Amino acid sequence: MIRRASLTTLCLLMAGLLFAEVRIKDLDGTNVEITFTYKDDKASEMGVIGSLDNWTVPGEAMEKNADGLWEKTIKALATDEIQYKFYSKGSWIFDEKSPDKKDDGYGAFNGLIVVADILSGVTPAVPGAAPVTVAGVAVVNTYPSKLSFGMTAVVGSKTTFATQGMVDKTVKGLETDTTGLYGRMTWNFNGTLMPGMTVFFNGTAFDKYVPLWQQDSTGLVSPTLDQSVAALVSGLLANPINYLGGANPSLTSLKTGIETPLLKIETGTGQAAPTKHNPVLWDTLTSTNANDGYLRFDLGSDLRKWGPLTLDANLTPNRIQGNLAAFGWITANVESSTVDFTYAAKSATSTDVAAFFDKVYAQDFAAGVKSSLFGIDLWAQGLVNVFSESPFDPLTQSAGEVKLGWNGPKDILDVSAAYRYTGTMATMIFGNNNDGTGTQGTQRVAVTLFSKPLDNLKLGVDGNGVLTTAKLAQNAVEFYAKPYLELQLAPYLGKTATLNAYAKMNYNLTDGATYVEKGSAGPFILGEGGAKFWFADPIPGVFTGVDTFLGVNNWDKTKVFTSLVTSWKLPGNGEIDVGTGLRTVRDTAAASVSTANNAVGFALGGSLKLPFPELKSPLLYGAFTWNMDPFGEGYYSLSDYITSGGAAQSDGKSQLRAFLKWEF
Amino acid sequence: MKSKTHFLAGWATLLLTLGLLTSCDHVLHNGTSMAISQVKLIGLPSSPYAAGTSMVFSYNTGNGWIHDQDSTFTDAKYSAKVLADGSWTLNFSPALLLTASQLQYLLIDAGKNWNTMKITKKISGQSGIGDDGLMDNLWSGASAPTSLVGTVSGSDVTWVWQ
Repeated sequence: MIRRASLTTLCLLMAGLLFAEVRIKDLDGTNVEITFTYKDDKASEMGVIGSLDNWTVPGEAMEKNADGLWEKTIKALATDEIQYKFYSKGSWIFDEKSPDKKDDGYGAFNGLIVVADILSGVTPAVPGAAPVTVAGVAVVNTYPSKLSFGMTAVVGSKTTFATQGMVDKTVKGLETDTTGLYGRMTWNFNGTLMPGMTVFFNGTAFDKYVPLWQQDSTGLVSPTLDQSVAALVSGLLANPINYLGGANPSLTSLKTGIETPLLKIETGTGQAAPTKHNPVLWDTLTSTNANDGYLRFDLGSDLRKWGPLTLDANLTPNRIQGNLAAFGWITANVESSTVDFTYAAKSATSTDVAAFFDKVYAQDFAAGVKSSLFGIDLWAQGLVNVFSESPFDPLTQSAGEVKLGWNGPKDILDVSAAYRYTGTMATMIFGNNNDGTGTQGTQRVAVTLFSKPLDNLKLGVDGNGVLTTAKLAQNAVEFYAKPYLELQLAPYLGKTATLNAYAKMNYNLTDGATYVEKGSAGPFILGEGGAKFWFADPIPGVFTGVDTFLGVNNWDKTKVFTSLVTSWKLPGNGEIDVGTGLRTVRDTAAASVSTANNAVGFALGGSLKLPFPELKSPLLYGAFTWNMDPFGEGYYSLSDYITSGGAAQSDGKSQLRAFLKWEF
Repeated sequence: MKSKTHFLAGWATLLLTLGLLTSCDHVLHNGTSMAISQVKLIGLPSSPYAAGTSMVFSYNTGNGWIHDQDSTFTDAKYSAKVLADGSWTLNFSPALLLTASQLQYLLIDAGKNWNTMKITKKISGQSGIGDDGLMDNLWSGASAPTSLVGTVSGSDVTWVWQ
């Protein structure tokens, strides 16, 4: 029995557009097969990534089927809930046609498959579509109304320790800094309110760590345990939302909206973030927090489709740092071509809407286009800033980037080249200046290329050269390169196994330049190197796979940190993570650095689905870390294959933490 | 169900107890304090830091930025005006006592136009890119007040304790 969770009739009629589909085959009432299909004729590789593989890049590799679609079939249980995206060359692609969706925590969505809902016919597919018959089974895929409520809760405890003295760092040991409880609860409510109108509500009731005992660097204890327990008991009894949510018992994050065929309206505040906008090259809107709130209007589905033209228009008044502001855009798309115009403004007024434009002191005008011509992909984006307090200077108040790309047959060569100019005052009010307009006062040439000389080998390099415009006479050009390789070892080992490796390096041409602040006395530094080895089914039935990460962090002035982290995957989304690290001191460092060094780091963590179906099989996860922390607050959280935060991260610190997470 | 509830309560209690029992001694928590009597910035360009512009010193010692409270922007304790010679000086009296091991700080426009008027560790006169200032506590004690001095050159800032 095959039931189609997402029918994309419209896309099938529009050849050339992206197409995605999920099919579920019930094998025996307990086990199912889920087949993901995605159409992208230009992609040279595609994966499906998500809770099915613990979000391990590059995901489960998809292969082209007889219809030219990317396809991947996985095994799952009838009780599974799977979140996923498609992944290609660093791009995370939300499946617009997914059976359901869920906030991904980064201002966008993951596709969501609730297998049981689909098998029972609860999940609607395309609103308004006719019932589908597959393999002789009629599938009801339209519903006049579906409202669903979901909740995610995390509770746990965290204790932080010092492993060295605050002043005399040669004194070692283990002393508690703070110990306390952490809790987070989010509510999600969404669905079809009435035909043609969907609603959603995402809110965070509380998200807080409450220390029950804490001492500062001088040994002063505040709060004491008896004070905290009294506050805890009375707070939870009398006003738990106030106790856990803070003095102002408001939701820490709230995003809600409605969508009709003509208009989408969304509003958010607190830590809620509007979905980012990246129409061409840059994030002209990032998904940063909306602490002061926003109200967003977008065209509804009926006004977006005009024959082959897809039109996206947005207007979003908002408030940042107390002042009124606004952004908006118009984006037109025909097949693979896109044209975008984005406008943003910030005013000095905080309340007087009528005086908004009278008091505007910063405005962004950004435009971009992308298309393909004779097999060459073309991107172009530009930005002009206007500041009311200074006369307009096009050289300093503008930025622009042009990029060309070409992908050869069978990935024998994929190459792109880009030039970017950034004026000394160029900035985006709501955009990502680091990845978008870049560092002010610079010009950059960036090149990426990769090749697959063998079916199982991919070699590539990302590189760029950045010129500081004002220091041209000093040859102020800094080069960056990241060579990498990916080797599929299945042909040699008989099991799925992949080796990835990379290095990062900088070279500075500036007269007299050194990387002494990063530990190199010369103009060159090999700052980072890493390797990852994935091996499937190392012990069948016990571990479904093991990831091993080896990383060397050579970016710090006085220390080098080498880490080795292994992550053993358990059946059912669990894992055991073990890491160790060696922190060595450079010869050039002061003697006091050596005597105070914490040479060895250690970490043990993991996650486990608890066998309590009444509680929807909650996830227990936690870690103990000592002078290193490859996990963040959850599972391992590496920057590429090295621990994030540099050699100093968790140097002299330790943590013991455990959390329980469950979702309804 | 009862045993499961006991299990959940049990591990939370166990971890908290472990955290407390490991060691609550003060051998490692042997810091004293440092007193900051003055924050000074010199070499500010007249554009956009025109004379008379009020700038606010904000800091974070691990418990959040003080500018998260709107009252910081109106509290004279943290605010001073740019002088015609391009300097900006804030005196703390009594001195600001710092007992955390590090101080994270920045200077921001009191008019909240800090997308264009913000001074961080390395960057001045630009939007919010660049790291916030970060200084180690020198543990010199409250009897030895220190000054934090930043020198602006172009768009770069060099900060030192004095």
